[in-house]
Amino acid sequence: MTSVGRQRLLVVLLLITVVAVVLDLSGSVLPDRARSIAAAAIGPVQRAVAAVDHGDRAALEEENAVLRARLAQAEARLAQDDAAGRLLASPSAGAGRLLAARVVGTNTTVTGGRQVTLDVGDRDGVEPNLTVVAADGLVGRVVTVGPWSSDVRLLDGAEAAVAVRVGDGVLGSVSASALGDAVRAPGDLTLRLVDRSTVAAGDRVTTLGSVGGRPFVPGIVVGTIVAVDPAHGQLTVTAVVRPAVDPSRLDVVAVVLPAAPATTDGGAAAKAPS
Amino acid sequence: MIPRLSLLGLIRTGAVLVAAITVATVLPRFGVPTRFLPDLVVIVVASSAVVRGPAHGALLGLAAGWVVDLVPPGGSPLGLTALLFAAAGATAGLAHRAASRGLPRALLGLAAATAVVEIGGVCVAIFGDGAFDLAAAATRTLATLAVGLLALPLLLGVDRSLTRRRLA
Repeated sequence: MTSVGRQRLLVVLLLITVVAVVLDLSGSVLPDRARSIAAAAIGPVQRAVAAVDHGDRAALEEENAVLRARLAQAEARLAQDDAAGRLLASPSAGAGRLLAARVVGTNTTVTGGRQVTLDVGDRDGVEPNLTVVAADGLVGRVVTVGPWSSDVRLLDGAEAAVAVRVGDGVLGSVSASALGDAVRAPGDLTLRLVDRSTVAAGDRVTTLGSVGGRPFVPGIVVGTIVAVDPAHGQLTVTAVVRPAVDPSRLDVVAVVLPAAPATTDGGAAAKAPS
Repeated sequence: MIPRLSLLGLIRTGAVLVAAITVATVLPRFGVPTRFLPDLVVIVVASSAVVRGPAHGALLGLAAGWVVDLVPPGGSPLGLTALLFAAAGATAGLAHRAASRGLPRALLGLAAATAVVEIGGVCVAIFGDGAFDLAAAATRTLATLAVGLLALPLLLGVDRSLTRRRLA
């Protein structure tokens, strides 16, 4: 290829790339289409590569059992609370089925949007906007689903916000963006309270739960408050939350599947990945 | 004018794909924390760019960035990593000198490319969520340079023998 030909090719490809960036920023579906095609093609490769060492099959099942037990505990605790009992009484909020999954892709680029890829997809029953939990607490929610893999947006992504309950009753929301000039350690999240209540360092933050249990089921531990921001006259009280799950050490997670409408059994029956 | 993709170009793209999947899937599975993950794709791009010059480095960086954006979970917005790696490849190509093909020059090109990628990360943080982890950037850069020190001689040698075979 001649030098001029190469430069012309470079300019053309750069223009196409810039167009792709603009399309993705403006919300077009074409980049998502391209991503899903790539996920369908590369997903099986990632699953195969990640499944190379199978010596820890027993550890996988053990963690699954731990997750199931903790989810059942959280729901039992909340069922005693009258207000949350109504939320749990809605038919699809009785989600107890966990699908064990393994993280097969971690975002390593500087432009990455804090996502991980799991080795379960459409064929295992995963749908968009499901909760993903680890043994320690909340991981995030499913955003993209392919046939063999799905992407999870983590809590420390820029657009993620979770409605939470602090301790027993104070409501608020947790997100990664800090207010104003507050300085956060990497990975820490910001809690914004709904009204002027007092919280203290050491309080545990759990998910409030969404309508229908999607995208978040109630009662999952999000993290612990480590510090309350001093009041500088702002309208809402903000605090620093250290997440319970370290996103850089994820391995085995579980997707909380919605309860099937025809089933009357509300127990936690985990489905093995196909 | 439709450019023909040579066998060498295919091998390079394949190497980029293998590097991208290794960084996204294999290394984290072995327990390497994210902040210590070396950027293998930049190493592959820099090794080729230092031998052939800025234009070639920019082309390979563009293709490599597209691969990194498409391998799940990928980057957002789609294509930004491609632009970043094109700039990194062009910068590494600036270290090209026809006379010398040694390791120090290749390391210099790799260091320049890594610096461009991290500066790109800072720009993304400025326009995005406003958070940049400086310590993680430093450990990432050191890990990339350390792996580059081991991998660049191998990559340069393979490149040289493949080129010789093609011309012969």
